[in-house]
Amino acid sequence: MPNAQTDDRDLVAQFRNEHTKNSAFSMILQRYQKKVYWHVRRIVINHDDADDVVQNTFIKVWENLEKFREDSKLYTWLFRVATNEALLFLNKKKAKFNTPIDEMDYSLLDSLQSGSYFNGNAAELKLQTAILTLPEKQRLVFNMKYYDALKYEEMEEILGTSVGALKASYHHAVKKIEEFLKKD
Amino acid sequence: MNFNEEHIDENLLGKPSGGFDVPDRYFETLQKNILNKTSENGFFVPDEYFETLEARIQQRIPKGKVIPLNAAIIKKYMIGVAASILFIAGLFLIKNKTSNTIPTPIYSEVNVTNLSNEDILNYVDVEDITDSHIGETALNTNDKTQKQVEDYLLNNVDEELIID
Repeated sequence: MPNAQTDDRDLVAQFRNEHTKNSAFSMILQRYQKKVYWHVRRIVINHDDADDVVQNTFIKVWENLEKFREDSKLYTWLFRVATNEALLFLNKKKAKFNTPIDEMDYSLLDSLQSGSYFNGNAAELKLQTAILTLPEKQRLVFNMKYYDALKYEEMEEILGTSVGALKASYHHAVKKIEEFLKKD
Repeated sequence: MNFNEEHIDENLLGKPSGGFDVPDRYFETLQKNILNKTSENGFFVPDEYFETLEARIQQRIPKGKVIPLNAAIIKKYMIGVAASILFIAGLFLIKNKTSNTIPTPIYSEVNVTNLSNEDILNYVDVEDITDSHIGETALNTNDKTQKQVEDYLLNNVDEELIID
């Protein structure tokens, strides 16, 4: 039975063939849309924003997959495209509201606390609030490690950051979250 | 609270968990949540979201040859600039050609025999042919053939016509 990686290579090959391009793209969508969505959702928090970013991500995939060099796995490439799109979206949003890039985006906290498509319990809400207090890079690393269960090597391919730096980021993120949760 | 038989039956039948409670419509959405993973860590998505996502993405994808908007605009600008350059260069060449070309009809009527001495003198006064490239070329040619011309004159010209 072919593994997922082989299947992904086949899908990329099929995508490069004009006759099988549409069906290959459809299979990529079916296979990865949820993983990409939840990854993006944890970055942008709001469902409607996540929906926009996910759609833009897959449009970018459609436009650029032929140029994919296959020096990384398809899903890490997809996550990289999605992460870039999500960060680009957040930066545009910050620029729109004149929020400094490095500063915490309180609109994300508002989205979370308004309860729009969020029905987590008190503990989940508190944890998500703690995660939102992290600097952007640490937040990304924490989410990818804790929720997406990605390996550091995969995160290195996605974020272009060394494994050592990623481990340090995750360590700092966990410490900060622990401190936040202990405060109350 | 009096636990009569009817009440006990209701509790047992309506709440088979033995008193533990679940949110409204929990079991109706549980299977869907598990199968479609429409909820994660407190976040959830609208009903049928993932079922319709692919169709909405497919609608936004331009099928056929994709030319990025910027590239298309740049291409149009480049074509416009190239056309303008060609047009201006064409006008310049035509203008130069017109100004440098001596009108044919006039010269077709000109014959050396028709020219008066005055015309020739005026032409020589105006055009300093010794400074021109054509003049130099003509003089060089004359240098090369000067010996032959002198020989011809000495051998063929009537001595009475030679003016001292």
